Amino acid sequence: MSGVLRVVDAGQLSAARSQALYHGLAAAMAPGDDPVLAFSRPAEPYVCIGYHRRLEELELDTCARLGLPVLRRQIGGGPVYLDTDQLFFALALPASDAPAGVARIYEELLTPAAAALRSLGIDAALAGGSDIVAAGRKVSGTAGGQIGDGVVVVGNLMFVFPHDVMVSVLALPDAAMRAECLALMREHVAPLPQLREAPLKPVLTAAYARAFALEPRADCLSRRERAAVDGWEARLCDPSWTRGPELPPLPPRRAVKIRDGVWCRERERGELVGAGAR
Amino acid sequence: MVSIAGFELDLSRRYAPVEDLWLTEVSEGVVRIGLDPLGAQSAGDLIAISFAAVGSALTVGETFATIEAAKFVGPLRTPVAGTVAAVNADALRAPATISASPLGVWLVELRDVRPEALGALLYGEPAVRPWFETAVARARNEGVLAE
Repeated sequence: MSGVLRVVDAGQLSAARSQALYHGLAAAMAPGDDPVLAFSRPAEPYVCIGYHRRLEELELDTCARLGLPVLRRQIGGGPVYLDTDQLFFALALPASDAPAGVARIYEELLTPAAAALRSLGIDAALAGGSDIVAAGRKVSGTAGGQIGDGVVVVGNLMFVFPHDVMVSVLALPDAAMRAECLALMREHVAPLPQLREAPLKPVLTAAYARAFALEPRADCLSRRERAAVDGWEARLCDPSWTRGPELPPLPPRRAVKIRDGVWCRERERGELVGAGAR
Repeated sequence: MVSIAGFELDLSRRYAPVEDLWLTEVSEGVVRIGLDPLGAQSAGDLIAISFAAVGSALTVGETFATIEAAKFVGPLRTPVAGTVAAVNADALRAPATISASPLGVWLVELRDVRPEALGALLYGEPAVRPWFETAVARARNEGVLAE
């Protein structure tokens, strides 16, 4: 490493490109490379599903009716609705320089994002390892992974979040669970309407640079990174990739994670829907 | 089984220190691979695993399985070349068992593994103990493991 934090602001990107960006950055990492902080904002709404999740978790007809592409990512977590009202940030670094252990990776790579939000007056903190919460509500969805020889942790910051659209793309067994899921999501997942993209990026950059004691430097994708992003964009658009790996069948009772510690679970027939979602 | 640095290890198996894997030969040229206890603890509680397709010919360093814990997805890379002969469907259905009993759950079976490839792995207490003690101490020092 040269003591530099490369900062790549990719601007607005297509759905596939906005996912391919961080995949490619991680895949192109080699030992000794500088870490990269990347920003992007999707130019269109879409649905993104974690690597080990099943397409049956989604209402694919609804996604099609709403014109939402469905993309599978090579990092973890569940289905998410992403759109133009969200800023993505991703921190990629060589796996050889990443903290050992998943818990420490999240702690070291997400604490700066929480610190940046605090500097903007939002009482943000890490919760449950990888959620960023403020006033008990999740304000940033995050996930991570090792892709090639790079480790990447990705988060989104929502300026507006249509909870109803998010819930509408989930395959749920009945109207009662859909209503409960929507209520829990409204209660526990919060956009940050007071934030704006332009001031947010330099604050995030400063927080990461300070945390890693690196000098931030605005940069573009290298040729190698661009090729890797191109390759990932093609892969993410391949239907065989979207179908995903072979997985066991869905458990008999549906459960949707709202945020750390809060789940919406399918009730047994006759069971009352109500409090106790935790 | 012996206890080394607080973990139970089976010294009849071979160990790949970089990948934190164990290997055991089930017949000539056929090995089963699993996660060693330190690798399992570092990864956290596994909630999913997927495997390379049976029949895949893997070279050293290629991914034979992909694991997920705490929304983090990472590859498990083979320390020996071989062809995927079988994957453990029980581990696929219940990945938590890998975390709970890493030595008790094999992940993949490779065939066509050359004997000299196995010879390069750690085997026997004089080789395994110092590596594992050092690795655990480092993990504790880095905060990966509780004291």
